[in-house]
Amino acid sequence: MNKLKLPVMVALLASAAGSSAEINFRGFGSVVGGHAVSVDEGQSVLGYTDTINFKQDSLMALQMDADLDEGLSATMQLISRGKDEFDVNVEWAYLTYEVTDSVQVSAGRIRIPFYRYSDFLDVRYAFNWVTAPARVYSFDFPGMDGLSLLWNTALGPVDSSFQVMAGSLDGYTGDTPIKFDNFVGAVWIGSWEWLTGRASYNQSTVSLPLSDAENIANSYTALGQGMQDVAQGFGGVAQGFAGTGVGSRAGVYAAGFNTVGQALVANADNVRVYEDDGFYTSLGIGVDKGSFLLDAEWIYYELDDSLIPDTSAYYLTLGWRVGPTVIYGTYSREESDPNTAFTSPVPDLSLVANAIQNDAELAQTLQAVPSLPDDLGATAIGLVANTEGIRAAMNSQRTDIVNTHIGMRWDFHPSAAFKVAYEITDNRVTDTQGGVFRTAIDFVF
Amino acid sequence: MKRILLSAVLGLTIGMPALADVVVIVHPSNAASISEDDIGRLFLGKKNKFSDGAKAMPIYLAQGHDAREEFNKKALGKSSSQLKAYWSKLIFTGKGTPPDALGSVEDVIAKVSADPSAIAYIDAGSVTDAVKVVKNY
Repeated sequence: MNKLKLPVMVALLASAAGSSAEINFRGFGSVVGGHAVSVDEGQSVLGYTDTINFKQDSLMALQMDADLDEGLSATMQLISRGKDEFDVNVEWAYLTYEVTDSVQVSAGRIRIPFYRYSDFLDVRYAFNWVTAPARVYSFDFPGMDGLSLLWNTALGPVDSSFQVMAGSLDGYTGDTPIKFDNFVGAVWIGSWEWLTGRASYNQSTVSLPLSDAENIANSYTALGQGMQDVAQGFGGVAQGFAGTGVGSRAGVYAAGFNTVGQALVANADNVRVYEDDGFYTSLGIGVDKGSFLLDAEWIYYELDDSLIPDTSAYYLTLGWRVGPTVIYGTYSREESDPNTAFTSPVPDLSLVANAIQNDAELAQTLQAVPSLPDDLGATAIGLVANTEGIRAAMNSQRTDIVNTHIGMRWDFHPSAAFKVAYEITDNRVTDTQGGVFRTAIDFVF
Repeated sequence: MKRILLSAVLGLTIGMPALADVVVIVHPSNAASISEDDIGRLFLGKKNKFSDGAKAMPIYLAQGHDAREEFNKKALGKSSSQLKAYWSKLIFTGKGTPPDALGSVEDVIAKVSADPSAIAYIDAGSVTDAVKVVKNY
C-alpha cells in the first residue's frame, strides 16, 4: 500500500543529501523464535503454533534522518516485518521543525502514542519484554498522517513532555482496512528521578469493516426485511378478517413484526464499525530504582454504535535488575462486558411467536385462503428464533483474558539484548489456555 | 583507638576497586553555574541551554572509554545499555537525538577548548589548562 510512496520519499531524502544535508542512518531489529507449548493441535497462541516459528515477531527497521539545518529535519523509518512476509512499510515519514528550544512541530506520517509503548512498540531494545503485554497492546495500527506538536519543559524537578496530535489514518490492521477521521490526541509524560507518570486521551471517528460486524449487520437487515414482509402478510389477514378474533390477533402480530423489523433494519448500522465515534484513554506509571522496576498501565476504550465493546485492560510488571540482567514477571488482563447497544433496542417477539405457534385458527385461516402463504406462521417463528439467537450470542460475548508472563533480558552486547520469555494466555470465557516460549535478540544500530 | 579507626578507613578505601574519577569540562570562558541536575538534563537531551541562557552542546565520549561508563553511572544513573535504550526510544519516535560522540579524549579537549557552547566529560587524569572543570564525579 505504501510501496508507491516509497521511491518518492527516498528521492526526497536523496535530494536532501545532495544539498549537503547530513544524513544519519540508524536502525533496529529483532530476531524472535518461538513456539506454543501445551496448546491443542490447530490452535495458536499469540500467533504461534506447536512448530517453531521465527517469522511471527521478527522485524528489521531502518531510519534515515536528514538534518536540513535551521531547525528543520526530515525523517523516514521503514519496517520489514516477518508476519507481513517481510514487506517493507513506511511507518514514519515526517518533517520536523524546532520552533523553539522546547517546542517542535512535525508533519507527515507519525505513529500515534495511544499507550505508553505504542509509538516505539517495534523498538524492543527499549523495553524488557519480548513484545509489549498483548492484553493491552493487542492492536496493530499503521501510522497517522497529520501534525504533532511536542513541548518539553521542566516543571521544577519534574521533566514534562506534552504532545498533541491531529490528523487521519487510512491503512490496514492485519488484513482489515482501518480508517480514522478527525483524529485528535494528547499525551503528557512527567518524570522525576526514578518515577514516570503518563496520561493520554485520543478520540477519532473510526471505520473498520470487521467481517463479524458485517455478518451480523447483514443478518439484521435480512431479518428486519423478513419481519416487515411477515408483518404485511399478517396485515393482509387482519384486513381480510377484520372484526373477527383471528383478524384482530393478526393485527397485533403485524404491529409487533413491523416494529421489530424496523428496529432491526435501523440497528444494522449500529453493528458496523463505520464512522463511529470512539476514544482511547490510558494512565501509566513507571518506577526504576536501579535494581527494582515497576511498570503498570491501565487503558480503556469505547467505540459508540458498533460491535466493538467498551474494553478495559491493564498490566503490571515487576522486575529486578542485577548487573546486565533483568528478570521480570508481568500480569495483564483484558475485560469487556457484552455489548448490548444494538440488541437492546430490538424488542423480544418470543411471546408473539409463542402465540402464533398456538394459534390454530390462524393456521387454518392461512391454509384456507389461497392468496396467503401457508407457512407465514412458521416463517414468523423462524425469524424470531434467529433474532433471539443473535441476541443470546451477543449477550454471552464477554471478554476476560489473562496473560501471565515471566522473562529475562540480558544485555550481552553494547548494542544487543538477549531475551527469553514464557507467556501463558488464559481465556476465562472460553476456558482455553496456551503457553508460548520465545527467545529473542533485539538490537539497535 | 584513633589509629584503629584510621586504618579501618584506609583499609576500606584500599579495598574498593580503583575507580577513575570523571570530570565535566567546559570552555574556560564559560561562567555559567552548572549544577549536577543541569549536567543530568543536558546530557539526556532534556535541556539545551546553560543557566545563563547560552546554548549548550553536550559531547559524549565514544563507546569503549571507561570514563563514559563512569559518567553514565554516576551522572546519569544509567548503564550503557540503559542509556542506549533511553536514546532509542527518542530517536525512533522523532523526539530527540543523542549528542555526538568523539573517539578520543584529545578530540574532546580540542573541541571543548575551541567551542564556548561545548560541555563534555573526560577522566580526571587527562584534564589540561585548555578546559575548565565544573564538576568532579
